[in-house]
Amino acid sequence: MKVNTIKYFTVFQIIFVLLNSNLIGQTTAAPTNYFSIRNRLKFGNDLFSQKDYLRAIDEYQAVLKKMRSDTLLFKIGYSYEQMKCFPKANSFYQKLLNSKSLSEIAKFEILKTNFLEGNYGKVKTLHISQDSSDNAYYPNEAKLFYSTYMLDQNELPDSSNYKLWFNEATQSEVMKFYRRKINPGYKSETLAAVLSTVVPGLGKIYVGETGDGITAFLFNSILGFLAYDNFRAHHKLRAWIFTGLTALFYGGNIYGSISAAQIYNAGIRFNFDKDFKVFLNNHNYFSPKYYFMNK
Amino acid sequence: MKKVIIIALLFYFNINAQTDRHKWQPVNKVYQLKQDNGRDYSLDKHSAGSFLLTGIRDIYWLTFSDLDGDNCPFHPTCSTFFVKSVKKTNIVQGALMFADRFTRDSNLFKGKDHYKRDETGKLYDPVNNYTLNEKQIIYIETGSKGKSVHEVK
Repeated sequence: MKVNTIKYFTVFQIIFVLLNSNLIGQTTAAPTNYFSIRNRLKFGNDLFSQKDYLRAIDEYQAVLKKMRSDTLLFKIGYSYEQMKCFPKANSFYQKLLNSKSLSEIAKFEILKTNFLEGNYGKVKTLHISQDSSDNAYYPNEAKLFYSTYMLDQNELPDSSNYKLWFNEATQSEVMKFYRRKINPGYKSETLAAVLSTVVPGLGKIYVGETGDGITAFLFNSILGFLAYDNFRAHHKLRAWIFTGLTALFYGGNIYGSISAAQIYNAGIRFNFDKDFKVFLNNHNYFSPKYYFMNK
Repeated sequence: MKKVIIIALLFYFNINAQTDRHKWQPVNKVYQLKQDNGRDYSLDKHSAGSFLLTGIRDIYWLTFSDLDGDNCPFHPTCSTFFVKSVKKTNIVQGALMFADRFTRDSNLFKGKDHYKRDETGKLYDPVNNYTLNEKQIIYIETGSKGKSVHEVK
C-alpha cells in the first residue's frame, strides 16, 4: 500500500510538472509585426525627425509600395534635398505637380532645388512661366528669383523690385548686398598693368600686395643697375645676361600685377557669394513652414 | 619483442618529427625607409621643348635643389611651377609666370598671409591662378589650415 502510494504520488508529480511547464511556458502574446506599414511609417517619421534622412527614405519607400501618400513623396523629396541630392529631390517633387494639396509647395521646392544646385537660368525660366495668381508661394519664389541675380553675372534688376518682395526685416540686409553687388570694389587690371609699367611693383601695391610690390621694385632696380654697370665697364656678356634678366623680371612684374588684380577680384566675388549664401541659409531660402510634415 | 617494437616506434616518431631539416639563415632585409621627395625625375618626351625643359629642371634638382633641401615655401615649388606653367601656356607666358612667382617667393617683407597653407604647411599657390583666365582661378580662403579650395566660376 505504502509503495503504491509513493508510485502514484511520483506519477502525479511528473504529470503535474509537465502540465505546469506547458501551461506557464506559453505566456507571451502573439509576436509584434515590426514591419507592418503602420510601424514602418512610425519608425520612418522618427528617423525623419532625427534628421536621419537616408534611413527615413528607406522606410517611406517601403510604405509607398503598399499605399499612395503625397505627404510621404514630399518628405522623401525633402530628405533628398537635405542630403544635397537635388536631382533626386526634384524627381520626387515632380510627382506632386498634379497633387491637390501639395502641387504649389512642390512648385516652390522644384524652384528651390534648382536654385540650390546653381541652375539660376532654370530658376528664372520657371518663375517667369508661372502665374502669380495661381500660386500661394509666389512671393517666396520671387525672393529666390531676385536672389539669382545676386549670384550670377547678369545685370541686376531695379532696386524697387527688391523693396517690393522682401519684407522690412530682410530689406535692409538685401539692400546692403545690392549695393555691394553694384559697387564691388574691383581693382582694375589695366590700371595695375599701367602702374607696374611706369614704376615696377606699383601695380602690386595698388592691388594690396605691398611686400611683393617693393620686392619687384628692388629686383628690377638691382638687375637694371647691374646691366647698366656692366655695359659701362664693357663686360658685354654679363651686361647682356643682366639685361635679359631685367627684361624678364620687368615683364613678370607687369604680368604679375594683372594676375594679382584678377585674384583680388575673384576674392571679392567669392566673399560676396559666400556672405549672400549665408544670408539665404539663415532665412532658410525663404521656405514656408511645412507643418504637415510633423504629423 | 614488445620492448623492441616500442623502442623502434619511439625512434621512428622522434626521427620523423623533425621535418624542418634546413638550418635557418639570416635574412638580408633593409629596414631603412626609402627616401622619397615626391619628385618625378622622368623626362617628358612628348616634344623637344618639353624634353629640354624637364632636362634642365632635373639638372637643377640634382645639382642644387636636392642638396640644398626642401626650402621653397610654396606648393608647387618654383621649379615645378615653371615647368607646369610652360606646359599649361607657352614658353613666353610661362617664363613671365615664373618671373612673377620668383619675385613673390623672394618677398623680403613676408607678406604671404593671403596664401593658404596645405597639409604640409606649404603655401598653396596653384598655376591656374596665373594663366590670366579668370574662369580657372581657384580662390582659396585663408585663415584655416588644410587644402580645401573653392573654385570661382
